[in-house]
Parts: sequence; structure tokens; C-alpha cells
Amino acid sequence: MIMQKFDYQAPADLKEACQIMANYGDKAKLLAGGTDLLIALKKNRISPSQVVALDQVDEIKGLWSDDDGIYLGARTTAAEIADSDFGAAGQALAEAAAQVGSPLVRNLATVGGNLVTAMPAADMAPPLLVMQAGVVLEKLGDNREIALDDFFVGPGEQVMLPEEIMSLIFLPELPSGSGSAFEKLGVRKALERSIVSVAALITLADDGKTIQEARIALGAVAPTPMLAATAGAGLCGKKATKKNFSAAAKTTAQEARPRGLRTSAVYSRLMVEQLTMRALTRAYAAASR
Amino acid sequence: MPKKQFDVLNTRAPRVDAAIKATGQAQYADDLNRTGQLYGAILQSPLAHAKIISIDTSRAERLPGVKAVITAKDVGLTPYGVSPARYDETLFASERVRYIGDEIAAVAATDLATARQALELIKVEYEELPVVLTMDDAVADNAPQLHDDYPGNISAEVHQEFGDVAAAFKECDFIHTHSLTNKRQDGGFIEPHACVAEYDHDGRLTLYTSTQVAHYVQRTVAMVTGIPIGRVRIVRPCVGGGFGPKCEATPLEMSASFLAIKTGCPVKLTYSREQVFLHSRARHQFFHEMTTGFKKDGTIMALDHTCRLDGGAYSSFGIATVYYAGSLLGAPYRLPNMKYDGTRIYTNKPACGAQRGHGGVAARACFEQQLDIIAEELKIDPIKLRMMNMMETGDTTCNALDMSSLGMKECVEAVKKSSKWQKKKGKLPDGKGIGMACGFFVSGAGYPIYRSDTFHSTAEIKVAEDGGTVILRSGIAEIGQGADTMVAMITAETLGIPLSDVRVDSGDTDYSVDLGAYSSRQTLMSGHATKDAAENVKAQILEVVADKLNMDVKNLDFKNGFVKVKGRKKLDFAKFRDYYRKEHRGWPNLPEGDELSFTEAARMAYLEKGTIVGTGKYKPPILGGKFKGAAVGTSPAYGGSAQVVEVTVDRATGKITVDDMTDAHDCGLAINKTMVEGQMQGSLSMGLGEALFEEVKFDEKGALMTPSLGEYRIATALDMPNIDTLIIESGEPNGPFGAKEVGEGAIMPTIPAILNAVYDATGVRITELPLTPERVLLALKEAGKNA
Ligand SMILES: Cc1cc2nc3c(=O)[nH]c(=O)nc-3n(C[C@H](O)[C@H](O)[C@H](O)COP(=O)(O)OP(=O)(O)OC[C@H]3O[C@@H](n4cnc5c(N)ncnc54)[C@H](O)[C@@H]3O)c2cc1C
Repeated sequence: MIMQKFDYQAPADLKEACQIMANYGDKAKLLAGGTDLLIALKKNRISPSQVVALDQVDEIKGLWSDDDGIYLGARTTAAEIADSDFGAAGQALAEAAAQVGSPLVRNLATVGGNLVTAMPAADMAPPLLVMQAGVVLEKLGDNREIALDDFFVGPGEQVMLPEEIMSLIFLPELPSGSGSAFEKLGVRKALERSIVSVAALITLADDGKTIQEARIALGAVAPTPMLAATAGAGLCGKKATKKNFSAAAKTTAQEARPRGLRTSAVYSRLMVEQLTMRALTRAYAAASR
Repeated sequence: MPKKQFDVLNTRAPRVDAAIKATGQAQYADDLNRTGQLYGAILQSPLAHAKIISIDTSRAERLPGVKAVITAKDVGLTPYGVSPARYDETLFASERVRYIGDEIAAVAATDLATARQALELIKVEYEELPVVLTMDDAVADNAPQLHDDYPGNISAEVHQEFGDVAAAFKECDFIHTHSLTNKRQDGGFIEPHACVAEYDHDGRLTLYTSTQVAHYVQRTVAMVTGIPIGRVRIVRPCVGGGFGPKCEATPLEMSASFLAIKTGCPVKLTYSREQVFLHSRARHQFFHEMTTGFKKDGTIMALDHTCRLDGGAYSSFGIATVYYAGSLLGAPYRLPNMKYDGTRIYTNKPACGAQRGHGGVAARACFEQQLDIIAEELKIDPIKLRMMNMMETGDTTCNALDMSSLGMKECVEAVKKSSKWQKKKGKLPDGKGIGMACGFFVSGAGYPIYRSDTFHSTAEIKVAEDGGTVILRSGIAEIGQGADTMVAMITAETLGIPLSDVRVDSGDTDYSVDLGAYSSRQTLMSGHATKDAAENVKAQILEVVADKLNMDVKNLDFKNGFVKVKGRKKLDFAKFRDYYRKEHRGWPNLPEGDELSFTEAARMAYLEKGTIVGTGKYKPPILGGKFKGAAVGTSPAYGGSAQVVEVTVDRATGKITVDDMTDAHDCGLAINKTMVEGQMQGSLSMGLGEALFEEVKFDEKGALMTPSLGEYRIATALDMPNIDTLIIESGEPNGPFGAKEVGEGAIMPTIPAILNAVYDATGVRITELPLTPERVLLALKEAGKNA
């Protein structure tokens, strides 16, 4: 197999990028870090006539914030995210980004690419899910924002139209007393697809003991990254105790929908339980800081 | 043993190829480009087992840019393989394909895209045959048969008994049975196979190829193409690793050769990573079952051992593998009775062959676990049990392997001390464990792969006419392990000159005969041939010097680039110095001082005799037993090693972290200490990968599921703990300057040491590799020992 020929375009800004995407639709593919796209191209899984590089589109790079929350450019790399301070509430995201691939991969891989590829094991998805992220999708003369929870459809599938570009990921301001954590299980210490990944976020009430809000999200144990809604809701109003965490972890394992592809469903569920316990424990510690 | 003083050997001299490799100037086969070069591509079967009804290449031939399309019709059906007794392959399949990846045709075109496009235009009509993927299926009644000449899908069978195992078992106090299964492995070398073939107007074929064994490639290519062997030249550029799978002639090399012959143009072919996995020829999957009998004092009495190997579709090295899997248990422990039944079975998968620690790695992993089980049963420290049964220099195994040097006890003592075993064994917190194991390996196969009295290595050393540079020409395979540096150091030491005055030209069948880089043979064998050649050169030069200066040659020698005189007589060489300086008037760095330099001496010899060339040669003496299969395992020397490994096991996830490794290896003499440590580090990394991560997987149709180094996981730098490398030097009488192997023996203890450490940490024995978190957790759970 050999890569098919394509034209390479490097729009200077988002508008030009939208224009190109409007012109070519599904014949064009956006290129961010290329760590997923190049593999698909080389294996001839896709053969676009246009490859549209986003590296000059500065509007969608980096991090900034206002009173509403944090804006994360879709073109921001895992390395940049790993090095950023999201506070106790957002530490799960930095932890997840720090465990993507290897240093070389992290220097290229972007958060937008990670979400758009929509692999069940995408490491940055679970933390963004527990942080209730929304994504902004742009097309020529229009844009829409949707909740990340509504974004994924199936393995490799999401709701985007061919001409849409993900510009931003919006992270709403979380109440004080929030803390999060990310746990990833792989076989090797680097260059590893998650066997199971779990992100947990806890918001404590003023007493520092009662859980006001909790969310748990899972990677690699369902056709898409997913929120374990029942388990998260079940913790609300409860005390942050080992016993309650343990019960929540059990519920989370039930909510997982492993397909038994790379590891048996039995093992996947056991790991969801273990990693959820660990993530909740650390998220609570972060929330207490 | 008092150690000899060396000037060049036993140091940490930088590698002779360090600069070109560090700067990226090194040229690998795929870097080579010839004027008018064509690009080749190979059509491989998409079915694991099928009859070929027809092959239609006409559309491919008509594609603009295509210069040649070849199939079995064009190249014939000359059988080839590794062992001449088992030639079961042909370059292209004509009637039947036996695995997904079996070669059917090859194309040469003006560019790679066209060549690959042409492949898609070749129409092959198949009739699917039932597929056998597991050994159980392959040996079942009425199983589909892969080869007419090998009924029952039995590729090779070995039955051996040394001593009397049944009688010995009767004298035993304990008898224990244990089993182990590994998974098919891949060499995981960085450089995929690549080659460029050229065919000239005089009918000479030159093949530049990434190989460990130019000599065998030359023979096979000559045989299959029908070109007289004297007209086939193999040149090995820089090679990015081999580890065994580059130990035989490949369809890549033969396709390129035929395409070059047909087109008259140079043809380049390179395997993709997926094709590397499809060509395979790497570690087999083994199923070992071992029953060991021992006395209550810890004396090992007998071993009854059966092994089944999943060979894939062809023989490759398999006959040697099945023998090695048995014979390499003969040492390093005194084992008076040993029975072995080994069977290699054909399946519709890529063929397995030789890989670092050929045949012995899984067997060793099984046996060394068994020793720990016995030690526990007898409440003896596992190190003590091993030491009680350990062989020593001079011992001979029940299968007639002669331990002409054996520093095993020293290795064990070294790792015991350095790892602080006594402080840790049995005293580590829950979830942490320590384990140890030993191993040994041949230092060069005692016999060539084809039956022959050939020298295993020859070498040629020429001294430049000005006397300043010594050029070694050798067929050895520098494949990254440092062979060039090894022979350069031996040349410099033998001649008594600085290393920087030696240049190595290696890896060309025009230079010398060398069987190549396999069975850890080059340091001992090529090292001997090099030393022999250097001694020859030295004698030639010294003879002239003695004659001219009226000295007894016995009193003359070279050291550090100067003539040394024994006794009281002084050298009067003023006349010669004067002459040399006049001859080289205007040159920089003319000799001065009160010693006669090697350069001047060599010039004297040249003026007297013409160009000074010395040759050297080596072949092992007749070795080993006379029984069937005695050739496999027999070697002029054996390297040994001991390892201690510490692990942490996460009882909740099953994830293993290797925290620490201590390795001691007896390499006889470390020609280059840094390179010896490099081999130890590399062996441990490969062993760790096989123990924890690596597995080549296939789906139910026989299609490869792990075609990349993303799917097939070798250890990363982060997975490797720091390794404490301890060099033991027992001084091997059969090795050059006392040297023997380190390249493969060092991998032997790694897997069992990890397995033993995991048991120490958890109390659970796992009998299937790799130790993925899932496998470990489910085993812990079954034993009720998970968290
Ligand atoms: C060796 C290796 C290791 C890896 N390890 C991990 C890991 O540990 N964890 C993990 O989660 N992933 C891993 N990955 C996968 C990959 O690196 C990540 O998914 C990465 O985040 C993808 O980002 P990218 O910028 O490289 O995307 P690209 O490859 O550039 O793009 C991926 C897809 O997204 C589309 N796209 C990109 N940006 C946008 C945008 N702004 N708007 C719309 N569409 C867009 C592209 O068109 C393409 O279809 C690994 C990959 C490799 C090669």
C-alpha cells in the first residue's frame, strides 16, 4: 500500500479554513498533529483529495479564560495541556494529557484530534466529560456548541459534519471545592493504549465532607468514552468515605459496557471498579486541598 | 586466574562505527540508490491456505512503468530452506499457498507506487482450503495437511534419552511436573529487511542486503538463481539489528535478484513492517512440560521433558530449534539423566525460526521455575539449591557438552552479593518479590548449517604500503552488536599497534568466508580467524626486521606501535630510519625517537616482500557426542549468566513493574567491556518484553493482528529498570584471548527470574506468557490472592 496523492492546503486563519472545508466537504481532511490522520492515510483507510493543515490557524491554539470558564483551543497539544495548571478541579485533564503516547507523540497530538478521532480509548475524553466540557464546531458563516456528552456516536464516529472544524473546547467554571483525577491502565509505561481509563470529579460542600456533586467518566470500556451517570449521581449528598466510593465503583463497573475486544469483559469491569476507586480517592484528596 | 595485561582488549574503546552512526552518515540497505534503479514489490497471499487455480499477470505487465513481473513460471521451483535436509520452500507458490503472506509474484517498476499498483492488477484465482492455526488442530485426525512430504503436519521430531530417566526417578524422593507456554515473538529490530540487486553484463550478481549471514545468502541465491556461486557477491551495508530473523536468505533477496537479472537494472526491495512480521522467522511458540526428579538433599537426578513447537508454514531453522529446546537444558546444572521428546508442527501461519537464545529461552523459563518450586518444597534457598547442583569448569553434560570454562558459580555469587539477595529474599513487603535464575548458551555452533568441512571463518589482513595502516577484510556480520570493533581490537592487540591504525572492511563475501552472526559465534570464531591472520602478518614483518637488523626473531615483538626487543641487544636501525625519512620527504609525522616504529618495520617488510598480506582461519575441532542431533548444542565454549530481578505486582490490577535487575555474565574475557554490557542490557530488555508484553497474534482466518510496533509491544525505555551489569571472566581456553559469547546467553535467565520474582511477590505461579495485567490478575483471582 502506498499513500494516495493529495493537495496540501495551509489556511492562514479559521475563516479561510472554513472556506476550504465548505468547498471540498468530505473530500477534505483536517490535519492537526497528524498522529491519527497519517496512520489512516498510510493505510489507505481514507484517501482525501485535500489535506488541510491547521497549524497556522492561531485562533484555535492555546488556553485562555474568563469569568465563565476556560477556553481550550482544539489545536492545543497534549504536551501543552500536560504542562498547564487547571487547578485541583482540572488536574485530571493534565494527568491524562501527560499519559498520551510518548513525548514525541505528545508534542504533536492535539486535544481536538483526540476528540474528533473518537476512539473509545481517547485519553483526554474522560476528564473533559467529567468537567462537563462543550465543544464549538465551526463552519462557513455558522457555528454551534454541543456538550461533549452528546458528541460521540460510536467507535471512530461523532456528530460532526464533514465541513465542520472544532475550534474550541469550553470548560465551565467549576465550583470551589472541586477536585479531579485520572487513572489509566496500560500494559507498558509509555506508548500505550488504555485498557481502561477513568476520570473522576468531586465537588465537596462547605463542610469538606459531603459530596455536592460527583462525576465519573470511562474510556475504553464502551463504544465511546462515557459518563457513568448513575454512579456519579449516587454519590451526591453522600459523605466522602471509602465505603461510599467503593459502592460507587461497583456501580460504575456495572455501567461500563465493555465489548471484550482487547481484554475480557470480566477483566475490564474489574479494572473499572479498581481505577474508579483510585480516581475517586485522589479526586477527593484534590478537592480537599 | 591471574589476568593478562592487554593494551587494547578489555577496555572501553569507542566503537569503530560510532561516528557514522551517531551522525546519521551510516548507510543502510534502503539508503542505497543506484542509477537507473527500479523498485520492486511482492504479491503475497491473502489466504492462509488455498490452491492456486490460475495466475494472470497480463494486466500488470501492460501497466506503464512496469518492467518485469515474475512468478513461479519464470523463476522455477527450486526448493530451498535453511537445512538442506528440509528444503520445503520455493520462492513463489505455484500450486498452493500456506499462510497469509506466502509469496506469489514480484514486480519491478520505475517507481514504488507503480510497482504496488501493478500488484493489484495481478489476478490470482484461489480455491480455499481448510486452515489449521493451532497445533492441536494440526495434529488432529483428518486435519488438513500442509506438506505432502511431512504427514501429520509433523515438521520435525526429536527423541533423545541420556542416562536412564525411569530408573533415576525410582531413586528420587520428589518428582515434580511443571509446564510453560510462551507466545510467538518477533525480533523487533529497527531496520526492516531491505536489499538492492544488480546484475552486470558479465553475468555477475551483486546483492546489497540487510542480513546476518551473507555466506548462506550467497549459497542460497546462487542455488535458486542458478548463477555460479563465484559470480554471486553479497554485500552487507550497515544493519539495524537482526536477532535471528535475518539469518536466512529471504524471498526479498531472491525476488530482487531475479528482477535484476530479468531487467538488467538495479532493483530495490524493502519490507514494510507488516512484511517483517509476515516473513517472521522469529521465536516459536513452545509448549513445555517438564518432570524433574530430585533427592531430599536437593540433588537433581533426572528430567523428563516434552515440547511442542508451533512452526508455522515452513521449516526455516525449525529442526535446529527443536533440538536446541532440549539440548540446552544439559547445563549448567549437573543433570545425569535427561529424556527429551520434541515435535515441531506445521500450521498455516508465517514460519518461525531462530531468535536470540535460539530454542532455549522458553525451556529455560520452564526449568528454572521448576528449580524454585523444588527449592521451596525442600525449604532450601533457591540460590543454594542451584549452587549445590552447579557445574564447574571441566564438567561434561549428559549430552556431551564440554564446559571448557564455566564461571557460573562466580556469576551466582556476584548477583547474590550485588542484589543484596540475603537481605531481601523472603523479607520484602507484600506485592514485592525477588527472583533469580541462571542460563547458559553456546558460543558458536560447532557445525555449519550444511554438512561441510568448511572453515567457519577466514580473514585477510593487509598492511598499507607506507606501513601506517592495517586493513582487515572480513566477511563478518556487523549488525549493530559491535563485531567490527571486536575484530579491530583483536587485530590491534595481536599486532601490537594502536586501535586507530586498524581499518575494518567487513561484510562482503569477496573478503572472506564467515558463516555470520548467529549462535553467538563471531567473537570466538571470527575472533580466532582474525587473530590468526594478524599473527601471520606480524610474523612476516618481524622476520624481515630480524633479518635486516641481525636479530633473533624470537626476541622481537610489537607493542603500542613500536618494536620491542627482549634481552640486552639493542636495535641499530639508524640506517632504516634515515631511509624511511628520505622516502617520505615532506610528509608530516615522520618517525622519530629511539624506538623503531611498526610503520617503519612494515615498510621494511614491504620493500623486501611486496605487499604484506596475511590470512587466518578457524574451524572448531571435532566436538561433542556422536548421537543423532549431537551437532545442535555442541560448541567450542559456553557462556553463562545469572540474574536477580525485583518486581512489584499490583494485586488489584495485575500490573507488574520490574524494579531492578542484576545480571552477571561469564563472557570468558570482555574484549570490550562497554559492548559486553550493551549485549547484557539488550538481552534483558528483549527478555523483559517477552515476559511481560510481546505476542504476535492472528485472527481466526490466520491474518496477522499485530502488524506494527504499535500493536506488537516491545519494552520501552521507561519499562526498563536500571540494570546492574557484572562481567565475569573465566578465561575460555578455546576462545581468542579467552573470550566467548555474551550476545544470547544473557537472555536466558531473564524470563524465569521475572516469573520467580512474581511468585515471590504473590505466591502464584503463572505458566503462560506474556504476563499481561489481565493474565496476572485472573491468575491471582483464581488463587484467591487478588486485592
Ligand atoms: C504512537 C502513538 C501513541 C498514541 N498514544 C495515545 C494515547 O496514549 N492516548 C490517546 O488517547 N491517543 C493516543 N494516540 C492517538 C493520537 O495521538 C491522539 O488521538 C491525538 O490526540 C490525535 O491528535 P492529532 O492532533 O494528532 O490528530 P490528527 O491526526 O491531526 O487528526 C485526527 C482526526 O481528527 C481530525 N481533526 C483534527 N483536528 C480537528 C479539528 N480541529 N476539527 C475537526 N477535525 C479535526 C482530523 O481530520 C483527523 O480525522 C497515539 C497515537 C500514536 C501514533
